[in-house]
Amino acid sequence: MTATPLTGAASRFNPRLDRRHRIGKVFEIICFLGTIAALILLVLLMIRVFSEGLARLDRNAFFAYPSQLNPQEAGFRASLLGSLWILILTVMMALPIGVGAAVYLEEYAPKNRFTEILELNITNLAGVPSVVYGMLGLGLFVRLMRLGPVVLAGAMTTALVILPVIIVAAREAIRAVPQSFRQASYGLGATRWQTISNHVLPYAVPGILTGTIIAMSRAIGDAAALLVVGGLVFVQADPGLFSRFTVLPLQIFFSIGQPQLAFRQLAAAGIIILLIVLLVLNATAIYLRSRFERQDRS
Amino acid sequence: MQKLTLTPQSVAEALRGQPALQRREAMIQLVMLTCAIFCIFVTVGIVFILLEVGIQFFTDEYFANSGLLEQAARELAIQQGVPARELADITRLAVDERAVTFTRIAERIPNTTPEALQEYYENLKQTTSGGQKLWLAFTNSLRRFFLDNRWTPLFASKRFGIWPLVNGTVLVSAVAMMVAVPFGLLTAIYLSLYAGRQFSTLMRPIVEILAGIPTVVYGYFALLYISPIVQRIYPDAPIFNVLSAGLMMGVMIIPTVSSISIDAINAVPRSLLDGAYALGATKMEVILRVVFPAAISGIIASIILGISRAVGETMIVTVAAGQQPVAYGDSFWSALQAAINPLQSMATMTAFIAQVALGDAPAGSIEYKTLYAVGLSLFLMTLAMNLLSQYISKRFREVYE
Repeated sequence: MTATPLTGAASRFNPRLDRRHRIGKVFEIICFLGTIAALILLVLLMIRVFSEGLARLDRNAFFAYPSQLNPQEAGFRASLLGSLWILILTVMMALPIGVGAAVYLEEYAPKNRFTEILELNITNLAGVPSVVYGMLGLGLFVRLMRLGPVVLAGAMTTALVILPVIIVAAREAIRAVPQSFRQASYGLGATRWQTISNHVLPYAVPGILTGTIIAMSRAIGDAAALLVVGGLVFVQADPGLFSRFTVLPLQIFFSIGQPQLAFRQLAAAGIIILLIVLLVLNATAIYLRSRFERQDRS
Repeated sequence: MQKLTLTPQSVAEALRGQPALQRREAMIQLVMLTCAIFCIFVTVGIVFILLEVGIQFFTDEYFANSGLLEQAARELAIQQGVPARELADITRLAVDERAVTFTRIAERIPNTTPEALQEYYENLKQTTSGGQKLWLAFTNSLRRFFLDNRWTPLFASKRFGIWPLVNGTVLVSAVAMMVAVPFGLLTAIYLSLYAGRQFSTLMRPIVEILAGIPTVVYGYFALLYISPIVQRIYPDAPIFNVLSAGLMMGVMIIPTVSSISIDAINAVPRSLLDGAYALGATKMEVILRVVFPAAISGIIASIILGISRAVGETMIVTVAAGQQPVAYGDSFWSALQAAINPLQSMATMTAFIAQVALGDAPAGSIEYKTLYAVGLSLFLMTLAMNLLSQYISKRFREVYE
């Protein structure tokens, strides 16, 4: 087949394909560079913070209390324990409520105006800045309920921060359970709750777990809410449920604010610890997800 | 053949003869419902707490008193025959109950000592009814909150104009979006249209890492690594500056923009792309002229959500942007320059909240109440943007489904 020769105005049409494809190629490269630019910047910053803080990452960094006088020997003991306390309490509070809400919305909720409001509400809660949650915690738990700026108040506040994250993740996991599971269970005469507890939830556990771990990493890294609830205090003892607290990001924040170089190194060391904790959490989440996905296929 | 589907309703029907089981089922459903309703309580709690103390701010005695002092100063000035055009200058001085304020006002009114003014004021205070005071406090606080242009509630001489803080928030967010929008969109385009499947599935969680890094870490980067670079380029810039905080915040927001934009791009029907290719368009032309316009509402929704993130971000700005609310000069041009110059340190709304939290303001004080007035404004701003983003992305879904 031969191409028909173009006549008239069309003959003057020059597609300039070479040029257009060249521009297209340049555009693709720009897109690629745009994708990796921020990541490269992050890697460079990480390398710097590691080179600055690695030397300071000794025994003291983990086991010593903070000290204003000699930052060379100060450590993150109080804040590490504080973070652990807050994290455990937070998950204990947010996980049951979050999964409960997700189960209701996915398995029980009728399609009506009320359910719509519930869903809209959760989406909006996910967008509320954590500093506003901090003010809720300060007003409600610390002042109104008279708990004081203690670990429990901080954990309750953080639980509210991560609640929407857990609900969204759990809903996705529950939605991914094949409808046939439910049908089979109903067919055998199981009740609604028997179906949910014996079939839907066990199948959704990996997804819920992954979402929970991501929520946990948000809880560990979040400083704004806890700053408002607990203030910035110097904790020289291991925290308990009703003691004042500091957490890892807050102590890093404190160290950044100090003028001495030793504090700057301490902050870098704290950042390394924080990033490693987050890395471990996220790696666990990815591992869990891939492992259970593989099981499903076989 | 009719397909038999078992629904929860039909199962419930089958339970009719077993009241014990029925009761248990109902109980469990109630527990789950309670969990879901709990979230509504959280929202109600936020609104309640913010409004409760926020309203206390807007009806605080402090503002009633300054309103009364203003009235006292005006009446005394009129009695002493001060010309009407000078009245506004005098009443502007009436801000609080400090001795220096009385002295300053009395200096402007002939034949009046600070003591006489104070006496007149105390007199007025006693004769004014509670309701009038409340109304005075309300109007006075609203006027000072929205019409003043300086923010110094933690100083002895208090000014309550919210705009310098809003200015800081908007400027930092603008810098952040200048980073997040181009890089987020390039990422979205590359990962959804150019990259291979494997590379894309590998990269998406890696890009998400940017949003998962604790903000205090970004603050550290901004203050100690980015800010010195900014200072090398602009030697006049202070170490705490909006530019470096905004740049790091932009990096943090890239995934917010990119991941929602990827979903929007993927929702563009394949046929639209194929049609454009069939007309001889190159890939870039298809992306820029077909995919992009078709996905624009999703992209805009993602950008609005990104702005909302930037507005609510606290630690980066607290660490790296400084605690100094912007002060406008006298002329319009110097004010404009102060408003848009990112090479200065500038407090944002969130940074002010953190500052008060650091200082441990006693409950019931005007400083503590100011915290909630700012928090309320912040909450309303982010809520409005989140709702707008949802509204836009909902509209866009209707088009293609």
